[in-house]
Amino acid sequence: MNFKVRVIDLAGSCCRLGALQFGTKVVETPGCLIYNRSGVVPHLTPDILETLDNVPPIMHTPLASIIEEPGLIKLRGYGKGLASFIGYKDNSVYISASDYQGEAMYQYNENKSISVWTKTGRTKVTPDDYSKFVEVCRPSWYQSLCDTVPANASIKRTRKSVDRTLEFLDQCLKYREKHDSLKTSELWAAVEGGGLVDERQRSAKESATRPVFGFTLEGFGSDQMNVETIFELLPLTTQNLPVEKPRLIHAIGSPTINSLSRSSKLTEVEEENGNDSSNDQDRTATFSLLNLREDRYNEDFSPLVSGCKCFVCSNHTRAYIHHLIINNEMLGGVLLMTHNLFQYIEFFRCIRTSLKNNKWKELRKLFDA
Amino acid sequence: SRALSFKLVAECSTSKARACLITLPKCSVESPVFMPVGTKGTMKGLTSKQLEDIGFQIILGNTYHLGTNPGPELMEKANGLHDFMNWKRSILTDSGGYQMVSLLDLAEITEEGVKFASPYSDDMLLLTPERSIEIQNSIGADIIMQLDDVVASTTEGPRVEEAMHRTIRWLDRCITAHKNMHCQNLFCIVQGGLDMDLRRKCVEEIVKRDTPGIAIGGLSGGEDKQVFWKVVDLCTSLLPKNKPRYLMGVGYAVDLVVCSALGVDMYDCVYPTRTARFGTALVPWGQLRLKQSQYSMDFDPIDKNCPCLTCKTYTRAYLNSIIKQETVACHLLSIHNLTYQKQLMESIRKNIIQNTFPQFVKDFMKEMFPDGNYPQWAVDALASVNIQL
Ligand SMILES: [Zn+2]
Ligand SMILES: [Zn+2]
Repeated sequence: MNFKVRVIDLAGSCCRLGALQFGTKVVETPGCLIYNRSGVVPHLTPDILETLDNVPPIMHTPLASIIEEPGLIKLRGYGKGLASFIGYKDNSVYISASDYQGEAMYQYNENKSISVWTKTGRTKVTPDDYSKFVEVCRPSWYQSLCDTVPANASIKRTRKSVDRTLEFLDQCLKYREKHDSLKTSELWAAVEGGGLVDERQRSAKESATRPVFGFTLEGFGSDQMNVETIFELLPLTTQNLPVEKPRLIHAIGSPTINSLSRSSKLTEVEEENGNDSSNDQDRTATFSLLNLREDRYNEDFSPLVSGCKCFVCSNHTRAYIHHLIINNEMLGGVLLMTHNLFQYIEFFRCIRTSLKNNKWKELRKLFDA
Repeated sequence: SRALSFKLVAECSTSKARACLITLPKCSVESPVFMPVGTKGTMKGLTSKQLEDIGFQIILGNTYHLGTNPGPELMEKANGLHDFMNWKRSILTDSGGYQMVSLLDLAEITEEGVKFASPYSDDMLLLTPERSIEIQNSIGADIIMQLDDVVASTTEGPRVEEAMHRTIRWLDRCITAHKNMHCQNLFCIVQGGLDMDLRRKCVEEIVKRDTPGIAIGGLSGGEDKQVFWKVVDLCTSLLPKNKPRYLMGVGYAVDLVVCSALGVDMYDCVYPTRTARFGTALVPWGQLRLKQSQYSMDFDPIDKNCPCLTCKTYTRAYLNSIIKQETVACHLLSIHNLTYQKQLMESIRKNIIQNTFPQFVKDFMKEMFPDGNYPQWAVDALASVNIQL
């Protein structure tokens, strides 16, 4: 597995264009990973997922969605790894320990373990428990266990978060060192630090001294983290990370950030800080939002986005989707998710193309307009 | 001119089973055929493309639901349901009457029509035969159904006879109201409850109206199966051979096989998709309730001989692990269950054409009831058409 990256200097900001290679598969960056819960992309059966081009060949599965069901015993009994179990046979998975689905219940984390929240409640997970679980999952990538705090956590608690996360990282590394079966699973170090610049930098510098494959930037999807803080903290953090390793940010497109500005802000994040991967899924269209519940779509027989090449826009109208949504028909979610993922993947492809062709400014103008 | 052409492809030399080709405006339909039910212009989370991939040639839409929401005006603007949901093959719509009687507390039947309280306002609305046809004309299905006076199949006494006569009067009003004879086929419905005389009289009257197809209604409402099959058997014996016969609301595997032996061509039922929503997979030996813990470590597919996407991709253990939390689980089970229904109908048809249908029925029943504990009604029904289990 390797990562090739080219830094593109654009009037002082450093964009990064890269390719993460594993086996015959490549994830181009900047790019997005597609998130799944318990192995399913919400709403989508695999045949519908297949209608999307350029789906990254690695699926992101958060620990919380699999620790209970299927869980360790079932996966061990199955014996062929998580990717195969979830029907993703030709491709691979990335397992994250952090669960950005809701605000972290960080006060329940302890020195020796973090708390993972599932449907039936809390499960305490130590770095060894976690590593054992990852071992039966056989992912291509996994993230180190982390104690993520929101931006408004106290200084003391934020420091503790950085210390614990480094300690967890070392234990994950130690376990990986001792177990050959994890050799093909690359470890990403979680970088913490809440809303504090000093702690962000300490976490980045310390993590950078460890033998890890890449870095994940945690806590940026927190409700307490506003866009301004994100843009202040990110460059100060990433300047302490080695250039040649990939960076992944979780949940940067949180629905708490105004979505319209989000799309243009997101390009700034990419431009100024050169994060390599972002990860999000949303029920709404990416660039400007259509609320398909609104009455005005009742008789609108045009596609969601004219010219969109996705399966949905080629086959169905706004009026039909409006009808499905207001009647709470499950197909409404299926169609919206399909279109949105297509747009999201396409968005990142445009970013990469514009970087390759030196058309970055033109692309930005398009999104800012 | 007719919007339907009917060809009898093969008849079983033992039983009354038959394989037909029913050519409709949008798509030819090979029978015996099961029609899945897409209530509101959608099949429970599946795209029209997925239904096409499974191989369905005809699906059912509900007039009551489509007529209230999105409504006939929008249906007209959308150029009909086919375009609205982007389904290029055939559609059948029911009359809407049955849905009202079964879904709404306040439905009241008069000679005029079915009176009911709008679920969206305080208004009292009236579904007349004319209105039902008008709505169905705007939906534009290949086959539309007359409004009939539906009584519970367990009802007895003069109400059953009244309903039968009213159904015939309503049929005449539907025929007069029907505007799209050239592109939509109006089917009549045999009523008469569980009374053989009434059924006979009803068939006699409606056959005179010479509609392109005929449905057998008023069954599948929890009546005694021994009476059920006798009514079906009587109707198929009385009905003309050169028209499709549609048994409404029937969709259990055993019922499909037995009723096909009795000479039924078309079926519809919400069962495969409804049972999928409750986590049940249909298999040739019965059903699997995948929520049960016995499947949590079962790494086989639902049915290793099933060609569906679900069986090719997932194990029972995986489905068991997502079934309580992910709607995708219910889409996956719907895909499997609908594939099962489709495959079953294809086997029935193939065996009728090859004249191996009696043996097929025996094999099917043996697999479904390996201990030989066959339901008596099925044994009797099949014996009546010379298939001895
Ligand atoms: Zn689209
Ligand atoms: Zn299957």
